[in-house]
Amino acid sequence: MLSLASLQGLKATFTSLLGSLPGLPSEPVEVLEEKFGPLRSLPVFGTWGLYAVIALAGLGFAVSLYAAKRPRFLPAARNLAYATCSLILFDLLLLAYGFVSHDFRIRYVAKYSDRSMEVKYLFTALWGGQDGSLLWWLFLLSLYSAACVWWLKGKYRELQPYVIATLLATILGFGVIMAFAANPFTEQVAGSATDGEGLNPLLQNIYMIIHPPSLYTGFVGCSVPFAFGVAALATGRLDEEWLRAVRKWMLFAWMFLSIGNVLGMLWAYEELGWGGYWAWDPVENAAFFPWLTASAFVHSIMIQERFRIVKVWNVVLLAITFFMTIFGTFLTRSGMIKSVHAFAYSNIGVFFTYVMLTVACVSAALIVFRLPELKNVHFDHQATKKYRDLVGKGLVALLVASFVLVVIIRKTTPKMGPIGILGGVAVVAMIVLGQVMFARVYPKAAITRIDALLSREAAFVANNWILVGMLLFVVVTTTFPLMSELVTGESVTVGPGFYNRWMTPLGIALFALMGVAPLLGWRKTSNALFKRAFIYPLAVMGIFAVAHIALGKKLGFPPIVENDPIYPGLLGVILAKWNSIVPLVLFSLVGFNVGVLEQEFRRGVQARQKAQHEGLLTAMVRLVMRSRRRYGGYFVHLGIVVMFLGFLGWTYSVDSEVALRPGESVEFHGYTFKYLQERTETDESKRMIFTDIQVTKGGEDLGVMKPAKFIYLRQKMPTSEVAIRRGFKEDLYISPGQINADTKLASFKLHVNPLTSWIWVGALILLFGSVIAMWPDATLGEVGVAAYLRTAGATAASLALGLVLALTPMAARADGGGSSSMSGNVSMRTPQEKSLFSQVLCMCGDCDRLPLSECTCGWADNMRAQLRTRLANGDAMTSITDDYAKKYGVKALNVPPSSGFLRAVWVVPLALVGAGGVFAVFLVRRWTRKDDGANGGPTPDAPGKTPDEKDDYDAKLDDELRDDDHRLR
Amino acid sequence: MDPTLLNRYSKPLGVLALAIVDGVIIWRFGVAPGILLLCAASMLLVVSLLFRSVQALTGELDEEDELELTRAPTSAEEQKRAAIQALKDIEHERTVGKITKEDYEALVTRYRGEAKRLMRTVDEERSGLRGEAEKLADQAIREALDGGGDAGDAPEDEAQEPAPKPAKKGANKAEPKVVEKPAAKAADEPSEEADEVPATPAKSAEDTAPAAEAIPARVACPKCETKNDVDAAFCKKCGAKLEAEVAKADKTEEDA
Repeated sequence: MLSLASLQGLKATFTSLLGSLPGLPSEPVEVLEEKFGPLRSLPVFGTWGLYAVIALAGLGFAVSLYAAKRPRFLPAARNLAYATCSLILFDLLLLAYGFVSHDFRIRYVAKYSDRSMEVKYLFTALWGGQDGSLLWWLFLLSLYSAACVWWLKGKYRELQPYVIATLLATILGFGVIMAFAANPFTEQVAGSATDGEGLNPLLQNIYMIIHPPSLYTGFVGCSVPFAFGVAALATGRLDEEWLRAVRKWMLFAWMFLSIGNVLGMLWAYEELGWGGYWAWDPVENAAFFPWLTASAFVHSIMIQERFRIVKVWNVVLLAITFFMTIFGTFLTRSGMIKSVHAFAYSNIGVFFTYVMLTVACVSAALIVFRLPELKNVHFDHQATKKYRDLVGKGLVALLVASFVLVVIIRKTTPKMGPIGILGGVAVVAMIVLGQVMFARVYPKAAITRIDALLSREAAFVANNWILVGMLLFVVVTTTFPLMSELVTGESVTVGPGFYNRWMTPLGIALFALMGVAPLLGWRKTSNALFKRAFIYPLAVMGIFAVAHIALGKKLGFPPIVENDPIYPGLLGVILAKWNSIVPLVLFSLVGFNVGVLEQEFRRGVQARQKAQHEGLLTAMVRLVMRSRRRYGGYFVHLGIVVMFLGFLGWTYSVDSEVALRPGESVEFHGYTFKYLQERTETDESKRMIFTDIQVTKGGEDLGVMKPAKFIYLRQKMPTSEVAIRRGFKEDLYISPGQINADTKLASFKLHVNPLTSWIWVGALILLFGSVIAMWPDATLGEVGVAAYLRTAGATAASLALGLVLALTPMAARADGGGSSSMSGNVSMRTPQEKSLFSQVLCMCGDCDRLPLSECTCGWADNMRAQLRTRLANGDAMTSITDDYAKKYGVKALNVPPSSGFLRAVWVVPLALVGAGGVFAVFLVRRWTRKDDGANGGPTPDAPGKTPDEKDDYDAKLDDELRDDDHRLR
Repeated sequence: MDPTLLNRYSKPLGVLALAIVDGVIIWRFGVAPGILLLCAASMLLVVSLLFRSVQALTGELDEEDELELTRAPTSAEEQKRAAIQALKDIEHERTVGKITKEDYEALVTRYRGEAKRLMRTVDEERSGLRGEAEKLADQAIREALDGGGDAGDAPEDEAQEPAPKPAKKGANKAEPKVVEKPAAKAADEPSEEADEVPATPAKSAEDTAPAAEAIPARVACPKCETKNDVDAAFCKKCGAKLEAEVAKADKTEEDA
C-alpha cells in the first residue's frame, strides 16, 4: 500500500493541504486513492469479521448463561461482550475503508457511492442502503450493549448474566441475518467496476433509505429493557428491582423513538416536497408501533411500582415493544407490505421472520412459565411444580405440532408468509394454554385491590388501552394489504385518507385522557375536590373554545372545516361530520391540557411556597427537581400539547399551483410572490437551478426564497429542493415545478402551512421533559461532588452521544442526495377536481402511495388531464373512481372501499379496540371490587390492634419515609 | 506518580492518545489511513478482550468485580415498600389538594397500619433468618475450633452495621460462590452473622486467647504465628504454606 512513491505523493498533498486547514480534506479523493487503494482481501476480511461476530456472540451467550450458575465466569462473559462489540466496530470501520478507498469490487460500495462523492457523503453511504444500514443497526446495538454491560458492573448480580446473554443473542440473530442475507461485503459477480453508481436518491425509495437510520437509535435502545425483562423472567426475580433498572433505559429509548419520529416528519417535510410531514406510510407506521407500546409501558410500570399488579402486562408490553422494533426494521427492509411476492423473493424477510418468531416464542414461553410469580399467588411450591409440569408438557406438544405444521406448509406452499401467521397462532396458543393451566392449578388466584375507580391507576389503564388500541389499529391496517392479498388475491392501499379519518377519534381520546389523568390522585380522588380541580381547566377550555368560535374565522382558523365523506352512505357522513368539528374539539382540548398543567405546577409551587417560604422561582425549580419523574412527565405532556397544536394547523393548510415568467408576480393567501429570475450554479456532482422568488406581504418585504431544481450529473434526473420560510403563525413552503428553458415559464406549488413550526417546538419541550425525568436521582449533597459529576456527566454524555447518533444520518442526508423524484407540479382547478384527485393514487410505479392530488410526476399529470376530461364530460365522480379501480386494481384507491372483505380494514381493528376496552373495564372493576384478595393489597389491621395505636414502629416508619425519598421517586 | 492512579486513567488516556494520533494522521495523510489505524486499534482491542476473557475463564484474571448481592424481597417486604410509596403519594396529593382532609386521614391511617403490620412481619421473618444464621455461625465456630486455629478478633467493623437492609449487601467479595435464590439467601447471612457476634459474649476475643465464641476471621501461621486471612494460601510474613487452613476454611464456607 505504502510505497516510496506514494510517500512522496503524501508529502505533496501535505503541503497542499496546509492551505486548506482545518477540517477533512475534501478534494484529494483521487490522490487518496493512489495512496491507499483498495485492500486486496478486504471483502473476505469483512465477511469473516461477520462470521467472527456470530462466533463470539455465540460464545459470549453460552458463557454468560454458564455464569448464571458460576459467577466467577461473569468477567469472562463481560469481556466477551465487549469483544463482540469492538469486533462490530471493526467491521464497520472496514466497510468505511471500503468506501473511502473506492473498493468497487464490493457490491454495496459500488451501488451506493462513486468517485465524485465527498468524504462526508461516503460515510453517509454507510447506512444509505439495506445491508449497510443493518450493519449500522448492529453497531448501535453493540454500543448500547457495551454501555449496558459497563453500567451493570457490580450491579444486579442475578440478572446480569441473563441481560448479557439476551443482548448477545440479539447481536447473534442480527449477525446471522447480516452474514447470510445482507452481507455488505459481498463482491460483485462481474468483478470490480471502474466507478460506482453513486448514492442514488431516485432508484431506491427514499423513505426506505433515510427514514429508518434516525429511528434506529430509539429502536435499538428498546433491546436493553427487553434484556432486563428476559433476565427477570428467567431468574424469577420479578420484584421491582428489575423495573427500577429498566425505567431509565426505557425512557431513554422512548425519547429517541420520539426524536426519530419527529425527525422523520421533519425530513419528509423538507425533502419530499409534497408539503406535509406524515403520510401513514408503512415505514412511518413501523416507527410509530414501538413508540406506542413504549409510551404505554412508561405509564403502566407506575401502577406496578405501587400495587404490584399488572406484572404480566408489563412484561408483555416490553416484549411487544422489542418485537415491534424488529418488526419495524423488517417492514422497512423486506418490502413485504408492497407485496407478499417481494417478501418471498427477498432472503432477508425469511431470516427476519425466524428472528421474530424466536423473540415471540421465547418471551411467550418465559411469561407462561413464570405466571405463578407474575400473578402474585402465595408461593406454593407443590402447586407451582404441578403447574410447570403441565405447562412443560403442553409446550412440548405445541412445539411438535407447530414443527409438523411448518413442514407441511413449506411442502405445500413455497411462500413463507404463512409461517409468520402460524407463529402468531403458536404464541397465542401458548398464552392461552398457560392461562388455562394456571386456572386449573390455582382455581382462585389472588387479586390485588385498588382503591377507587376515580384514581390515577384507573386512568393509566385507560391510557394503556388507547395506546395499545392505536397500535392494534395501525398494525392491522398497515398489514391489511398483505392480508387482503392472501385472502382475495388482490392488494389494496390503505392511504392517508383512511388514517386521517379513523385515527383522529383515538388520538383525541388519548389527548383528552392526557389532560384528565394528572387531575386524579393515586388510589383515590375525593369527589368534591376532583370536581373543583376540573373547574379551572374547564374554564380555560371554555375560553379557548369561545375564542376559537369568535375569532377563528377572522384569523383564518375556522372552528369547523367541512370535508368530503370517504365512504358513500351513513358511515362516510358520520366520519365526515365528526372530522369537521375536530379542529374545534382539538383546540378546546389544547386549552384544557394547558389549564391542567398550569394548575398542577401552580398547586405544587404554592404548596412549597407555603411550607418552605420560598420564592416563586426557587419553589418552581425545587419542585421539579424533587419529583423529577412527575414534573418531567408534565413537561413531556406540555410538549405533546404543543405538537398537537401543530398537527391542528394541518387542517388549515392551503396550496396552489402557479406558473410565472421572470418578472411576473402572483397573489396567494395574502402574500405576493414575484418571480425574479432563474440562475444556475454547479458543483462537482450536480447542476443547481435556483428560482428566486421575492415574497412580500402587505408591502413588507419578506425576503427572497430560493426553491431549486438539482440535476445530479450521474443520475440525470432533476430533483426538487423546496424553500421554506418558517414562522410561528404559518410556514411558507414553495416546491418548484418545471422550468421551460425556451419560454422561461416556471411552475411552482405554493403551500401555506399554518402552525407547523409548533410541532418542532413541541418536540424540543418533550426532549427537555424527558431529560428531566431521567436525570440521575443522586443529589449533590448526598454523594459528593465527584460522584455527582460522574453520574451527571455520564447521563449528559450518553444523551449527547445518542443525539449525535440520532441526528447525523439526518443532517448528512438532508444536505446530501436526499431529494424527491418529483419534477412536475400539480394543477387542480376546481374543488371537484381536488376531491377526485385525492381519492385516487398515482400508479406510475415509482410514486408509492401518493394521491393524484399531491403527486407531481409526469404520469400523474397525464392522468389528471384524462380524468379532467372525463369530469368535463359530465361523468359522475363515483363512476370515474370505479373505472380507475377497475383499470389499476383496488390498490389504486386512497381509501379501500367499504364493501365485502375489505370492510375488515376498519371493522377488525375497531372490534379489537372495543374488545380491549371491555377487557380494561372488566379488569378495573375486578380490582376495585370490595371483597379482599387473599394476598396483597391493604387489608384491615390484625385484630386486637387499633391502627392508630402508637408504637416503636411509628418512629421506624417515619425514618423509612424520610430515607426512601430519593430511592422511590 | 501513584501507579494505581496511572492504572485508573490508562484507558481514557489510551483512547485520548489514539484520538490525537488518528486526528493527526487524518489531518496529514487523509481519511483512509486514519480509518486503517482505527481498524487496527479495534482489532487489538478485540484480541486483548478475548485474552482477558480467556484469563477470566481460567481464573487467572484478578478482576475486582465487586458484586452486589441481592436477595429476592419477600412478599412482605415488597408490600411494605408499596405501602411506603402509597404514604408518600398520599402526602403529595394532600399538599397539592387532590384529596380532602378526611380522605387523607383515612388513607394515612390505613396505610400506616398496613406498613407497620408489614414491618412487623418482615422483622419476624428476619428473626427467623437470624436464628438460622446463629445456628450456622455456631456450626462454623465449632468446626473452626476443631481445627485448633487461632480465632482472632471478631470482624467488628462489620459488626457495627445496623439491622440489615434487604436490598444491598456487598460484603463478601471473597467468596462469590453463592447463586440462586436459596443460596442468595445465604449471601445475606455473613452480615447477619456479623450482627450476631457482638450479641454473644464475643468481646472477650480481644486478646489472643482462643475464644470459644469467636469466628476464625484470621488464621495464624503455623511457623511464625502471624495472623493471615482465612483464605490465604501462604503466610504474608514468612511465606509458609497455609494449606490446611485453606481446606478448613473452604469447608466451613461450603457448609454455610
